[in-house]
Amino acid sequence: MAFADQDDVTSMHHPHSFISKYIWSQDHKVIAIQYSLTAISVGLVALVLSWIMRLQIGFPGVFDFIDPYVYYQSVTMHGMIMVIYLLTALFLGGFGNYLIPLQLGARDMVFPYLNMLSYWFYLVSVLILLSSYFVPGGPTGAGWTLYPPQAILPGTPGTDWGIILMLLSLAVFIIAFTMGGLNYVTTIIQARTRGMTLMRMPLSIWGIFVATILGLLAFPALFVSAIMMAFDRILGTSFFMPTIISMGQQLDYGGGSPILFQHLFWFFGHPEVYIVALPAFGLVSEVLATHARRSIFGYRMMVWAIVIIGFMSFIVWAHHMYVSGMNLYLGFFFATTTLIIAVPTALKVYNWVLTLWKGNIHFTVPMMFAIGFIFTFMNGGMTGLFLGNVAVDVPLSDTYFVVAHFHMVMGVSPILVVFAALYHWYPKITGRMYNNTLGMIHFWITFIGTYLIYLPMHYLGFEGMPRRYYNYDNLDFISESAAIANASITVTAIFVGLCQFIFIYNMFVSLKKGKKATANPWGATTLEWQTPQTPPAHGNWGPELPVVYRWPYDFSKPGAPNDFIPQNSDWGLPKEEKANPTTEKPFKV
Amino acid sequence: MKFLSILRTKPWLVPEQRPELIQPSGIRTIPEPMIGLGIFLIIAGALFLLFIISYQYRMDYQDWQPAPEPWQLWANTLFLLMGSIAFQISSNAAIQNKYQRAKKMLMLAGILTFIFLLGQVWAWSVMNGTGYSVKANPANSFFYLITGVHAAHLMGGLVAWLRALKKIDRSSDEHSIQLSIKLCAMYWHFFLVVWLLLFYMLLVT
Repeated sequence: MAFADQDDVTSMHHPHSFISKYIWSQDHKVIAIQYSLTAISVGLVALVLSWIMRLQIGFPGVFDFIDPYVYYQSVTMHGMIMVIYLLTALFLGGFGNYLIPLQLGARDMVFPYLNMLSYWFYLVSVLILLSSYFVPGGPTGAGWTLYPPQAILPGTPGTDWGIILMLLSLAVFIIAFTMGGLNYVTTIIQARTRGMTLMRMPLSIWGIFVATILGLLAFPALFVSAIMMAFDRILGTSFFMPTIISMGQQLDYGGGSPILFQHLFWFFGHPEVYIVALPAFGLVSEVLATHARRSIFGYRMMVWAIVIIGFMSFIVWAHHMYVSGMNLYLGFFFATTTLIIAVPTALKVYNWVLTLWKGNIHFTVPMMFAIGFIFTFMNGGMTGLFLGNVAVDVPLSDTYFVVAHFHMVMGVSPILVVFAALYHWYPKITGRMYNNTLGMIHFWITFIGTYLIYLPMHYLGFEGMPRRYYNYDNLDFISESAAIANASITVTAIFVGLCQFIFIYNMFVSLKKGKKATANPWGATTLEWQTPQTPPAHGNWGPELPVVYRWPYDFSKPGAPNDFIPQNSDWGLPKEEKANPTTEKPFKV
Repeated sequence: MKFLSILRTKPWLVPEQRPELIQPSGIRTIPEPMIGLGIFLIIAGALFLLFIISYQYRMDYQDWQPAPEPWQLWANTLFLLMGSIAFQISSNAAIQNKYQRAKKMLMLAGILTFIFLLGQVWAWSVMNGTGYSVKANPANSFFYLITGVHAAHLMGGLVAWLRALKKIDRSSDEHSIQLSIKLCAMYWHFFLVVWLLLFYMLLVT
């Protein structure tokens, strides 16, 4: 039994060949990099898909290859890839894998083999998804929510194979996530090093911990709906399919409930927002505290907020369904819970701002992205308050206002944190520094570009421009200026998208040409910066695991030798209270 | 409540007289695989709960016609119950270091599970043969779906059962053998309870 204090290095699976080291690796760091590279690669595919739809909206009729099928397929695949295969996989599979053992002072995840399987299942799910481009009829074009009945009826793109592959891919992804999630939660519960109490865990771990629990409880709802829809599509059952006449013919389906699917989907779908957001909240807290040289303001409240948001995210799902029709009192209930969830969320924003207040702010690239996140998240969150109210949501629900809202709050905001985190941990992961100037250029283009793209969409939404449409010709209520705004958004989106290659160039070139990074270039306190080697070697620590003496935010302490005190430093402690190993009671079956 | 008191601690205070904070962290007395399995069973519980909720939701629609339960389900329930008991006896025997008995009971538990699975297939074919096909009515669809997902979990469990069986023969690590069998027993008890709930739901609706 591998207790955290039973430092059994010999039982670890030491890789001996290239294949066991980099391909079939059980090392959490390698798996994290595999997850991240796969997620970013598939994210780039989704970026190109967004260009396709923007080209159609900005310049309708100009590009012949974008017919309605291609348009809807692009919309669907873009949404699904970004939400699940990029953001979920990157935050939990990527950052979760890398940071959990390192920040907790463990040598690896508690189930390394399962961890490896998790990545390979994830890769298979991505390949299944992308393979739908090579089957008759192409990928599904049902929209990322896959609402029945249209998702499986003729006329929607990809009803032959696309929808089946999508459902299969989601099922495989959920299996992968469950394997990974079991690992993250068990490792956090069980493998913390000595002294790493729950309330000494960095907020990044708290965010990942609660998000993983959300994922483990929410993904089954998607699994259930995927299986039931696959039954409807393949076996002709009517779980979700109502009595329907399609193209003049009565179909075999009858009596099913599309609303049941919506409930199941959003019971997953809303926690999914927080599965992405909570790790982002945690990671950005690390970046802000470290680069402002200030202890995080209100650590306990930050933890409470994460836990409360996690709990509440399960009782707000039907605010995605106001326009599907619902009991008035139910609508009132979900509107109320939705607005209440803004309280812990706002608390976090205040605490981030107060962390910066009177801090010794270092305007490094990760810090710029972190501050950019606060702005963007606030903007996106504010429009969420509009949409949480039934009366406001109903007229706005099918407009570009919603597109603008969710791209700001759960698209761009988490992506800004992804960049902040990648720039922050890059020196530890690779042992090299990146080019700062390129990083700054990347930040300013991305940050300003975000607003050039999404701010006009709010106005388009107010004007009533409907979302999901392939063609806006002959819609008199849409003004000419909307077309200009759309063209401008498209040009900006393509430019900003292309500029992301600056980031990729910077990351790859710096691998070889970057300046060698010191072990702790930012002066951070958490354990991953205190490893004996940079990048950390297999097993993470030297012969002995670190012992934790303090919380992770001891910055700028009066009298301390530096403006940061690492968690494993015993500075300031009376001597007799240093490491005091206790004997372990063996487990009895 | 312990979790709530943990959430009230003030980690930023400089440790003064708190050597207890340098104790090992984690839940010290429970092995990781057991925690992992516990979490997995919670997830599986959530999965079946969602199926049950969907079942109840769909039942309220007019086209719902209750399906009869073939008698085989009663027999299968008995086999699964016996399988679960056999796992428990095997686990107890392993803890008392009676490995021959543990192995026999483990074999028996697996065989009983195979019989349960075959019995389920039989029940399916009876249902299908009497006109209650998967497509005919949502009640039938749910019957096949829910029993199928339950059976799939047991088939997954049989992989762990095989590994435990191998371990008894090949491993000399007593603790590891005991743990493997205990985890199998936990898993089977859980899916017995799930089955009893599902079967009850099918019976009363």
